[in-house]
Amino acid sequence: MQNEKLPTQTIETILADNYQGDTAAFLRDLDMYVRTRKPMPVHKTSVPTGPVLIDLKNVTRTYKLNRKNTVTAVNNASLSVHEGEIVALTGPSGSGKSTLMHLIAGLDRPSAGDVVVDGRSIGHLHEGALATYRNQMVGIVFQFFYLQPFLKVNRNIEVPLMFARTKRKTRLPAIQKVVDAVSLGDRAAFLPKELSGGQMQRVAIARALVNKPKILLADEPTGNLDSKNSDAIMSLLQGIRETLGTTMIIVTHDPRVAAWADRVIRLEDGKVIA
Amino acid sequence: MKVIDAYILAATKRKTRRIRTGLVVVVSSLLFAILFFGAFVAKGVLDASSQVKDVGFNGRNLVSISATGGGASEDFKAETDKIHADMDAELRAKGVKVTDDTRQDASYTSEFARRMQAQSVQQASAAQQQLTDSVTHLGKPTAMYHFAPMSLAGDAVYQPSPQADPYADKLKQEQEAGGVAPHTDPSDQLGGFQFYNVEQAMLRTQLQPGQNGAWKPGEPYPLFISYAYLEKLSGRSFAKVDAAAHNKGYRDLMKQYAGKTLNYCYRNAVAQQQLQQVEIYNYKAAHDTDKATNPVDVPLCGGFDQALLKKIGVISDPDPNAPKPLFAAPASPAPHTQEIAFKIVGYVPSQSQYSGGDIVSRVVTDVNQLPGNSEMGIIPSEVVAQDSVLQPEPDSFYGQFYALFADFATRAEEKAFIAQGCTGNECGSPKNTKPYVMPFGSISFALEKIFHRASQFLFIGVVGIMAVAALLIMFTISKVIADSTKEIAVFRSLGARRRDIAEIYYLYGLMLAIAGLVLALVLAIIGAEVVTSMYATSISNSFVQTVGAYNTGMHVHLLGVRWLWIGGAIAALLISAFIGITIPIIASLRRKLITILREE
Repeated sequence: MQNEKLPTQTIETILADNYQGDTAAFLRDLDMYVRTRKPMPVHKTSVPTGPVLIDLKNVTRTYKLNRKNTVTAVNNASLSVHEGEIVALTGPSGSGKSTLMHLIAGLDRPSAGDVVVDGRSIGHLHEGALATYRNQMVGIVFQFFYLQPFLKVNRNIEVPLMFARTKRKTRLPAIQKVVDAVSLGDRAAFLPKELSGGQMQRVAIARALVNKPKILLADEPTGNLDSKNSDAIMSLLQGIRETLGTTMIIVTHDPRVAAWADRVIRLEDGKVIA
Repeated sequence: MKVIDAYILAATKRKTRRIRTGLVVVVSSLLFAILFFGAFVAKGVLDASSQVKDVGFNGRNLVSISATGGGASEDFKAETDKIHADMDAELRAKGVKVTDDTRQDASYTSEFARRMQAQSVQQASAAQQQLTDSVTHLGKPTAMYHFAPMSLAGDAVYQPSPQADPYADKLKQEQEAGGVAPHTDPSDQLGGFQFYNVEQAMLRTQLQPGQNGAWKPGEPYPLFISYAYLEKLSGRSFAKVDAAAHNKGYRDLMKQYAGKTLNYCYRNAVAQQQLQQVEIYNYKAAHDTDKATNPVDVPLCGGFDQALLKKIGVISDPDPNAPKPLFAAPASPAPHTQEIAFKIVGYVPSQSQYSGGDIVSRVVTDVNQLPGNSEMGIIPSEVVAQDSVLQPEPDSFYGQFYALFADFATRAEEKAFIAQGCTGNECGSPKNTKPYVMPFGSISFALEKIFHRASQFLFIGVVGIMAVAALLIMFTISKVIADSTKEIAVFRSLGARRRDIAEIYYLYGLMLAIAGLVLALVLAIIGAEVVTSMYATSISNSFVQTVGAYNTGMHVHLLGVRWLWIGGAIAALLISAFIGITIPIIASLRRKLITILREE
């Protein structure tokens, strides 16, 4: 056990989060895990040395469910992420990890507090500037990939360049670079439906990276993949961090995925607890 | 974002939900196709009706004018009393004692009739002059036509085919019945003697600008003949064939007879009377086998030997012993005949259907009531003036009666002039001084009115279809875009601005709308062409026969493009597409990105 970077989860939380209290199922899985387990790899991580890139200051996000009831998705959360760091956001469902990620991605605005990215308070950007921020500063990878089904791989990757109004000449090298980075050179002319799940996620990663963002945000990037593909994706992301220096925030509830991170931040009821 | 990029993203959408979107486009196109089809055909029909008008009446803005009211007979009693008084005074001056019996004297009544007639001629001429003046005063006709009737009789060249010859049948019946002549009264002209004369309606000379220029002395006069006369000429009958064969038969005959020259024999009243007498004599001679009488040769066209006529008793010298009449009758003019050549230039369906024919036929009917004028035609007075031989009988009332036609440069002028004429009961009022004006192309006017009204109704229908089609397009495009909410959210998460989203989806909606539009136009044009090919021939034929389109080569084409309607349809399409795109785009842009992205 000392080889493994154990998630800071107790059995109770695992039972509650992942098995909804179904002890029998948990025990069955545990049994299977003990029988088949290989030692969890220790991923060599570089110590974050860069300056603070993302700084969340007492961020709160509340939603109105209806006239009377409101839900606090993120509650007074403060968090700093350094440049080049890989951070895993974990926590049970509804703990606010996705909301936190969306706040950083500029897909959402905080109800209170401030999200400062690269010295800019993005909570107060107007819509157009926020779109540019999403386009240039961050790359987002979704659990369900969200690729355009009738565009070929290279066209899918080109979409953020289209919104960036990048010149046609410079697009091809940019696409080539990210396609190589995710090792999909031979699939460039394929349609998404002709790819496996892992390949689709790699296309999504390439699309997220094509505008050379400083931050890559991934919302359950391996949620739809098996463990082999999950490891491959995480390995890929770590490699990208090493070559491009991209800061990454990965929302996951999978301890195996979290294990790849430099730092695991756990949320519960919208609060950062670790 | 660049338009080409927006196009790439919009174009990829056409592959999503292909069947449903395709169906939507086809259905809305069908509605628009109905709309366009309606527009095309309506315009085609309107064009056709105006074509008929132009073809049928040579594109002329022609009206016929006649005097109405005017109280011609208001002081009838005073006028007759005055004539009687004058005549009585003349007799008293000659020493004749005037009693009530005097007025029963044949020469007295004849003289009275002549004086009445002369007075009427005078009044008619005055009325006609007044008309001419008022036309010149009221409107600005480009030309005026005076039509003078004249009597024509004794078609010497044309011989009807046996089956079209009722008299031939009659003769045959008589022979079969044992040679008994049923018509013993030689004066029974209708029963015993039928002259094959010039068709009344044939002799209506073409109303064309420069008709006098077209006709040169010595050349045949232009002539329109009726369809019925065509059948007579050819000895054929289309009475028992179907409509298509009927029309084809006429067309073939028109081609066959176009440009042919017909020769007619003009006879003045005296010559006409002599011809009838000779025919009666010949009939008697043919049936009276006991006496050795020989029929008199009837020349194709020309007078008879007056001495021979005297010998056989057709004409006789006045009896020198007869009592001197109270009033001497004017001397009869010498008999005169002349051959006149007509060239067939066109066709009229029939006299009654021929627009503007009412006046002509009225004149014809009136003239036909005169003895010796059983048949007549009408020759323009210009023609008459150029050929002194054809001068109307100077003492004939009807010879002085002119029909007046005025020709206007534009329809507007024509309409303005018609508006100045009398209308309805006003025309018959004794106090009315306005002329009675009748558009020459009244049938085509009526057609035009009907089509105009029809097109108004059609327009309402078209607006209805347009509204339905527009709503359909609006809702379907709206639905297609509402289905793209997630896609919009993904695009936005990738850095698309609202404007980029708008560009993509408006382009997409535009592509759908244009596809529908092109499909609709193609369907509508095909539809109009099909309808044209199915019905144009019969419609053309109907027009030719009912309206009297002279130009026999006329063909109706039911594909007319009405740009106003098409423009309206395109505008409706684009507006509805715009609304249909805008609403869901705004709706999805208003939603929180993350709520959309979280839905799965």
